[in-house]
Amino acid sequence: MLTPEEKIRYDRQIMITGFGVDGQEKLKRARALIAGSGGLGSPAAIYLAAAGIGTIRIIDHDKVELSNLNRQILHGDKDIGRKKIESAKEKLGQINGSVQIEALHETIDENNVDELTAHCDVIIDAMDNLPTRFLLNKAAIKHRVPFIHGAVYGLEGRAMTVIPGETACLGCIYQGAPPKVKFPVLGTTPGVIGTIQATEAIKFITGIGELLTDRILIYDGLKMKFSEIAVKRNPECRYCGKMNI
Amino acid sequence: MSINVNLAAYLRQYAADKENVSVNGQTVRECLDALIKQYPKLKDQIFDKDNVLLPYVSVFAGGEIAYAGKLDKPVQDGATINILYIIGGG
Repeated sequence: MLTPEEKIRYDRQIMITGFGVDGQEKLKRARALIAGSGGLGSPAAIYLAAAGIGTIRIIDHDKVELSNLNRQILHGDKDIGRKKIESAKEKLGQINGSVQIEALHETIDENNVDELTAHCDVIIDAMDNLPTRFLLNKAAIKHRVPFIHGAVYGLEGRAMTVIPGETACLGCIYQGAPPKVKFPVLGTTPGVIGTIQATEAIKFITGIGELLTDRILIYDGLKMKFSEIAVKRNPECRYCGKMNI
Repeated sequence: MSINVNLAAYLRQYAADKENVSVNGQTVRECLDALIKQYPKLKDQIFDKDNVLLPYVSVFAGGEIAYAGKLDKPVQDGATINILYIIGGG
């Protein structure tokens, strides 16, 4: 049940066709895992908190550095040296104090990924490296939890939503990862993509609209345009290939 | 057969900043070879020393991924091939 204050707070989104009080209550009951509180995780977390999601489980093992601040908008000057999850929890609490924040200072790896992704309604891939993205994709497939991928490079961003067993997953479209290198990025690029990821999470939870499935959305900030590539599940995918199509 | 090849933003620097390149070919492999003939600097970004597709480059033809070993997939006149270079920044 929504409180009278919540009905006022979320009035403008409750007004959206198909959203309604029912959608807001679904959001209130939901838990989103945000893997990473950097460039993508910051806008995704901010908009999910503002929208009134019940619980955000945010995971990051880093501390805030000066070089993060062009894009990681959950953190500011006074946070340098703090654990990112502490800074994130503080900011998200300021935005919406009714959202439960599970802030975990962890490195996601093979040993803990199942535990960290347990009991979540949706997983937002806001990592800064491909091996962990594949690990999360694998866990999402295993637990059949929707996985919302986002990635950036410079002024290019990509996003895709994965419904395990139904739509193409990360392994269907990418075969492997190049060596990790420092990547260029303008802060607005993860701003765009992280916001799209939050939108997808809200749509999935509330059941409105059409999800970004079986298509890769590509944002080209240099040319300021969006494009899509239609993709299909790969029967030979190393992650989801054995699931029924 | 005329095929339109779309290049990921990262790859365009090796193709005179072209976003789309028109090539002729009957298969995905032939189209990639024709692309590289026009822009030789793309070769090292798409294939390894043994001329095998790099694992972090994805080639899509008709929505289906064409892996290394499956580049003989035929393409139809007017089709679009998309070449994505994986990105992982966050």
